[in-house]
Amino acid sequence: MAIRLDAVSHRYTSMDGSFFQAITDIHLELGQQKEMIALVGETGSGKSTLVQHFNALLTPSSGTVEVMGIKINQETVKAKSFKKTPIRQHVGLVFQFPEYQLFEETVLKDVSFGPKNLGLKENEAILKAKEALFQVGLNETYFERSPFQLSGGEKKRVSIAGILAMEPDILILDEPTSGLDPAGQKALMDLFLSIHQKTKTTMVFITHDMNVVYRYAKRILVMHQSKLVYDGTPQELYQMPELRTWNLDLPDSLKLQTFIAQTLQLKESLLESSVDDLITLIKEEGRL
Amino acid sequence: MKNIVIGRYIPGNSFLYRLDPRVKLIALVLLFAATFIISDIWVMVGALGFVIALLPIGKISLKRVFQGLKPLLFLLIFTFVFQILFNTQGRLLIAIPLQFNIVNTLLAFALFGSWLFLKRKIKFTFLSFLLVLGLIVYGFSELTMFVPYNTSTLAVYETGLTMALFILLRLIIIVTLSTVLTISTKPTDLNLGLERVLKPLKLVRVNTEEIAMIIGIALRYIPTLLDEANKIMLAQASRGVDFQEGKFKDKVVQIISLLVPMFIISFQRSDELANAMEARCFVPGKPRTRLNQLTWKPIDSLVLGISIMSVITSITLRILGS
Ligand SMILES: Nc1ncnc2c1ncn2[C@@H]1O[C@H](COP(=O)(O)OP(=O)(O)OP(=O)(O)O)[C@@H](O)[C@H]1O
Ligand SMILES: [Mg+2]
Repeated sequence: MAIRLDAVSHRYTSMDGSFFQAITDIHLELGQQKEMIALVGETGSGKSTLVQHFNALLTPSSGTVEVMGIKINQETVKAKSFKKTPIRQHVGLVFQFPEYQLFEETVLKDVSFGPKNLGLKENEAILKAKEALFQVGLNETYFERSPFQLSGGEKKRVSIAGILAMEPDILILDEPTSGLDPAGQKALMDLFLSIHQKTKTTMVFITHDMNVVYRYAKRILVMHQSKLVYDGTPQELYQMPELRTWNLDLPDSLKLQTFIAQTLQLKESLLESSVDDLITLIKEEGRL
Repeated sequence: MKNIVIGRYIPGNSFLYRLDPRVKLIALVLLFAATFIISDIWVMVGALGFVIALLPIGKISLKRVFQGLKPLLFLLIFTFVFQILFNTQGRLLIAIPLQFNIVNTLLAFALFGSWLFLKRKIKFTFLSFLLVLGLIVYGFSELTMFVPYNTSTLAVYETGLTMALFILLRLIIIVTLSTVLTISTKPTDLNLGLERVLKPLKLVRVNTEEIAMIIGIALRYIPTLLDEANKIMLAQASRGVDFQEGKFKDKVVQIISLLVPMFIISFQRSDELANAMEARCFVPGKPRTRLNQLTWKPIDSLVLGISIMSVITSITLRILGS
């Protein structure tokens, strides 16, 4: 059992004392299979709120979150013996604009901040930091540089390394590619994929880009108006009629397939067919 | 952090909300002046009653204002106790002989120890603890069978008590009034009001518009920066920082991990804001028109009148009283 949510709801209290229900009655399990999971949904649907429950940054207003056997709910967090740091070691969360969390003089020091908070000795923490920096593709030339003089993409990598250095079993990424150019986005997602394949960590990433989902995710979670409305494979999701009401788009390649199917007036769905099938189909039809 | 009320505008609808910001500012200054002129404790109590009566009329919840007072609770109690204990003028009101003997000293230490231990388990306020401590010391000093090793007197004098109450009431009135002002006035309105009220200073070459602009922007950004601070705290918490715990050395690093990003964000924000203002052709010191013009309504004259009356009344009462 990695993370389990049982009837989790969360409401924010705003300044004038009113409440805002950000997520409602969520049941969810993840982390048993070491998979890449995409979390999608329109703006304000509660994605960020949901993932902040995964590492006990937020405590559910009702319901229980269970992380690696540690129960988190309104009662358990009140106990003095309740420690949040171990949970944060298990579940690493990278925020949407992680570059704001940088504060040390050098890249290496900043990345070693997390491991040091977990109680590691200085030299062990530095070792972990170096490993993590290599993982995200930053070599020795970056170690002694100031994090504030890096480009946006480099800052992002440094802050991701800051979480990786804590060696979490589950890695959560809140819109990791926002603010990057297409090449940078692809490079970063490929990086996550390779880390996933090497270290076998479960990854959950929030994204608005269905192409990213199509390429990288084996499982997809859909949030809509504070509720978890879908949990399954992307392939099944693409054929669901509710796609429009959830404000989701098809990935470009599937749009192309539907377009081909429509113009050729094919009856059967092309979604299951491979690229080669499609190419032969287009060639054949083209000859007609 | 979310409960900081001072400086926050809370939408609502009442005559206080509709009042001209200039009037509110002038009235605030006048009423402040009045509280400093008042020299009789009963008049002060009356003034507090007046201010509290203002809240339901202006549809401002007492709870909100009380939340504004909460951060100052310690200061209020401290000044109160300080005045009572160290002002030895006037008639002696109460003299409580305190005899420190073995029993009550030991009990006090035991209580202190158990408080240190228990406060982790049960929520105790420091105040209720002090109260119990005082009662125990007092109670056992009556028992004369133990030999006291030290005898002292807790004495409260008349002037000390009145002064203490006086300062307490004055502080409460001032904070309440300021909270009412910020709760009921949009920062932009406040800013505009301030600019207009300070206008006479232009004669002595003070750039009042810029001052008002600076104050306005500062007020506007308090909630924004609080939200940012909250986000950064969450981000650092994800990196294993436990803001509730840690030794002193850890605390320093924790605070740095919060402050450095805050500084950077603030500078970025101000840079962006400056650009946005320039893009809209903002030139410092140039005369500008306003979207919302201030209009003087009868209620404004009424409130201004009442404020001036309060000052005059307090002056008269002071002269009559002395
Ligand atoms: N600290 C907060 N206080 C009050 N309301 C909040 C707070 N944080 C988020 N909300 C509200 O909760 C809802 C869900 O917010 P959340 O950030 O989880 O959405 P999201 O799905 O991550 O959106 P986005 O795609 O824009 O990041 C939003 O309507 C938001 O206004
Ligand atoms: Mg979000």
